[in-house]
Amino acid sequence: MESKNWSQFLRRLQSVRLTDAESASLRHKLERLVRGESIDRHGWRRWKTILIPHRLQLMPILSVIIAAAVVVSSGVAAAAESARPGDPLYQWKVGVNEEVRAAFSFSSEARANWDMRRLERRLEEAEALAASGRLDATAQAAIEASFKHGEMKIRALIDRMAADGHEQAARLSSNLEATLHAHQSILTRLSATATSAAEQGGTASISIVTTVESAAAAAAEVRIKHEAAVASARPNLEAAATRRLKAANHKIAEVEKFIAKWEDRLGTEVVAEAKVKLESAKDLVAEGQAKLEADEFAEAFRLFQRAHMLAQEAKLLVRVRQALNINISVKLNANASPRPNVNITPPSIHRPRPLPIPRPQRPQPPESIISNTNMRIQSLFDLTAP
Amino acid sequence: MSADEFLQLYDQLADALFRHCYYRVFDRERAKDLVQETYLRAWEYMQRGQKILNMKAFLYRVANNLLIDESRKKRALSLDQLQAEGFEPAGPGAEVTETKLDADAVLRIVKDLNPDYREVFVMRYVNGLEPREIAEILGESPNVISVRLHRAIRQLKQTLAYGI
Repeated sequence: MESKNWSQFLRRLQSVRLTDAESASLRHKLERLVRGESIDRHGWRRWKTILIPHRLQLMPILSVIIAAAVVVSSGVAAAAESARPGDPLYQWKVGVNEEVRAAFSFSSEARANWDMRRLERRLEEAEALAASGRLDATAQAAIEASFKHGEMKIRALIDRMAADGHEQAARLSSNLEATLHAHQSILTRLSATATSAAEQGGTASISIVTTVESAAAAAAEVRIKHEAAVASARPNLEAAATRRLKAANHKIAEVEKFIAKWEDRLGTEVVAEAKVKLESAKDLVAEGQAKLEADEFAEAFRLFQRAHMLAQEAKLLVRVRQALNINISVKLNANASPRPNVNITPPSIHRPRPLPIPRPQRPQPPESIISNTNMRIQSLFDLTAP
Repeated sequence: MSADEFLQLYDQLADALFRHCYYRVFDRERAKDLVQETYLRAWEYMQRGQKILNMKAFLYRVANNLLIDESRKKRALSLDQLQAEGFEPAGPGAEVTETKLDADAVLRIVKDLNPDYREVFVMRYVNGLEPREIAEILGESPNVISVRLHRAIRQLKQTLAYGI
């Protein structure tokens, strides 16, 4: 009995490890380090050291408030918000403004939402630069590196949040997927409409599109995984599906108002595309409601998730278009649906992936340590019995 | 050491170092930061032309120095505080083992252990280091390490035997 408890105890201790996403994020930083790229090793803590005397650093909340007051009161912060890669204030925007806002995200969900917004800001920067023909190789490399780092950070956070409940993780990964799809669509169009003067920028955009596409596919896999976990949690499934139905209806209503507000000021093409997505979202809600009434809660949950995601994509398309104020010519294929495979399974379209840096298999959990330990334990119990 | 070899070292030892840091600070985010900083400092040390004979021992020593700095800054954490902060030792996706020892029990047992005993116990029985390696890392004699291990085992055995 003692030996069994001991083995269990050791296994519990040994189960503590980095998640795959956490490990990949750390490894990515080291890869950048060994390549000679600069990395932000301290992030917020570096600026805290600069701005706040050591004694006050012992009071974390006070130091955050003081740093925030310094930043907020400074006109530099406001000016930095419109900075792009290559601008003098860009590092302030990313290293100070965004870190201060991150410090005020107290819950995991708030942190995830802000991290997603930060990721979106990188894509908006790429879009703005591409639209003005300034997306050169240097700027693109900087944005891509920052994007990849941010994306891994969000995935690690979603993984951790799954411990609190897969429903929340499914919702966040769905939001992430919607965001990435919408920006992928914008970036693809910008690449296609680049002028001869911005040819280099247009060509450079392609790799960013591929990166975003890969990230969206990865987010889809994560979403499906967590949806499956929700589906397997039978006792709570009906409640989860009902909550998702409410969220989807709420999002559709919100997006309808949003489109109506901006409709007259935007191009008809993007509005038409957004409305098509919204109609598909409504169809999915209707389909999901039928499943709900038939007690097929798992399927209903997935359909409502999908509806919410489509509505979110519709809003993002309109919002990004409005924010950038660029004239994107969109040729809608008459037969195009806004999303191939609107069912649950991931699209089976082959997507070329960027060449990854080879990552060897992570070592297996230390089973040999357990077996060796058990042998030593037995000898210990033999030798140390009182 | 080449960049590839350094990254292989990360793949081999990151989890063990993470556990080593985790069972000192009991905070995933801080433990991750410490692991990152350990590797960064090791790389920078090598870039200054310094030779390292035993990388594993070096990484553990760097981590220990960082942990000492960390312990000077942080206040003592009570068990309630750890649980209120959402103590999640294994992290999501960790291999679920069938055990009657829940996370609270394991936390309580490990936290109650004398810090010196806990350190050598984690290095030996959780991370699989040999006593002579532990001795080299901590700058102690193998005999001292053996005594601490023996006392750690005895204390843990008593706790496990007499109920949790």
